[in-house]
Amino acid sequence: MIEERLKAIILRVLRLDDFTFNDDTKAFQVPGWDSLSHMMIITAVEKEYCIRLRNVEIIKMKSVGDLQALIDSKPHKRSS
Amino acid sequence: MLFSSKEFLFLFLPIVAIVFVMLRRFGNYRLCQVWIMSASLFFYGWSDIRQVPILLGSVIFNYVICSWLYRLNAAETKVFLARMVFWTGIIGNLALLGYYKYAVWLTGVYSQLTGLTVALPEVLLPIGISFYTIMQIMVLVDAYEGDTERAGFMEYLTSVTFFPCLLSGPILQPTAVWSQIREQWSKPSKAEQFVGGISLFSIGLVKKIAIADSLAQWANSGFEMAGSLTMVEAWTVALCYTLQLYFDFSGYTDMAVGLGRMFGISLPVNFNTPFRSRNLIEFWQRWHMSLSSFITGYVYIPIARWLPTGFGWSLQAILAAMLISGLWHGANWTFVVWGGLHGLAIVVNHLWARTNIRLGAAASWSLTFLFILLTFVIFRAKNIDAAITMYKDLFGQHGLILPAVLADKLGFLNTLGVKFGACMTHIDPGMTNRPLVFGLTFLIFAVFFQNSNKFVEDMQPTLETAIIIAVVFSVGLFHLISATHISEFLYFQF
Repeated sequence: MIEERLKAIILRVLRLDDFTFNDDTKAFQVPGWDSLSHMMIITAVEKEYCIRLRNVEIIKMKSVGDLQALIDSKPHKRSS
Repeated sequence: MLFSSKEFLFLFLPIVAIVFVMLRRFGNYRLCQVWIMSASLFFYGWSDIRQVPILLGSVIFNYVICSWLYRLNAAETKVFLARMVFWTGIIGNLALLGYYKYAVWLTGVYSQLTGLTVALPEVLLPIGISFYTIMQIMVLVDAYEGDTERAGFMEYLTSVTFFPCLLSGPILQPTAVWSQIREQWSKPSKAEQFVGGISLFSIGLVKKIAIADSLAQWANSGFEMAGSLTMVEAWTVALCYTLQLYFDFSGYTDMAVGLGRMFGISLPVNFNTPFRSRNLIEFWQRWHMSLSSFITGYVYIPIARWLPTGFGWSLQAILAAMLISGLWHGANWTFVVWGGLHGLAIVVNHLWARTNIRLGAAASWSLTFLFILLTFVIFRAKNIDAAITMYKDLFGQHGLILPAVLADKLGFLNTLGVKFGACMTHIDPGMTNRPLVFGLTFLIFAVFFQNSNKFVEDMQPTLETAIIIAVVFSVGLFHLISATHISEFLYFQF
């Protein structure tokens, strides 16, 4: 399931008011999510959760669910 | 050896495929591996056996580096050493590519800038070196970053040298090949894989021999005659080249992906009707998609992470990545300018997307296609001066002559200096309008026809489908048998 925290980051970077994300949501289904905003989302996620995603992990990521799973798999900063 | 040559189609492919199908029945993928690896090296060495040691040297070097990285990663303590080994691998690969592809050009640039003469002997560019080098760089990066999937030497060698994608891609992570080798080659062949593979191969053969090679005659004559072309003629030449490049490379890719399927290996789709694109970002998501994936994953992402965060910095990362992508195509300023122009256009595209101004579908498609067509002129030109000469022709240096058939309806344009008559005198020996008619017809094909991969995916085993594929294959075969000369694929030069 997609955390509200992750959803908030994506909406902020893409400058969207709202969007319904689920585990299978792919980048191309989300308005404005292209290769440029993808990296901005990754950087924002890394900053917010204090984690570092590897190149391989970024490339293999296929959906928002994958990104959530990747965050969950790493020791990360809990929301304050 | 060319996929579209008689020796490949009538000897190499049938022998390799029949033995492969027999070996798969034994259920031992290692036997298949040895066979395909040997066939791939034979295929590669067919035209020039001297290039085989360079390929093997590169494979052995990268395999040793990767194995070392896997061991260091497992130890998890030797971080500094792992970084040194990784950079040795990257520099080794870039040095090999640099020596064969860029050294002569770079010394020429150095001589021009400094006035000092540095002469390097001309070396023959080993075919496929740009492709097998970046595929191995992908393995190195993944090994360094701790991708745990590793292969034995034979698996690695078979994956990197797998003949369907050895010479011009599609570019894929060799890991994707060896995981399929293990899974697929220990089971008997499936008939549907063969049928799908042959169908896609046939479509690719027709694209290359019947379409791309027809367009090539006009594109080649046109670029040779640049400086004397009339306006309509110059635009026709630019259109013919744009379509030639598309049908040539997408035809090659269809053949490669089709062959991959026949041998049980799924290769990535490289083209998804790119001329339907309505903006440059979309174009790069549809054109040479495997290169775009490599550039995004292994060039753009590292640069973007290295630069500070922010929209402006990300745009600069895109520009840098596109310049590198341009330079990857060849050692010539034309490719650097081409990559730079596309990078700038993508930046403009991103900035535009932030405004609320939207063009209609027709206007955005026309602008995008016009940009693609004009930039392919510099991509094709021998040098910047030749490109400028061609641009002058495109913008009416030698006036505008329209086909004579239009004289009745557009005669009033005479007052503006427009003439009517034979307007293809330089590129068509018969002085007909065939180049323009063919160019526009194939443009309609390229825009409106279903993508060949999608067509094969959706294909149902019916009599109708069988007839279509048989006709397509026969057309390809007819052109192949009647052709006096089979041209190389355009992307072989990269």
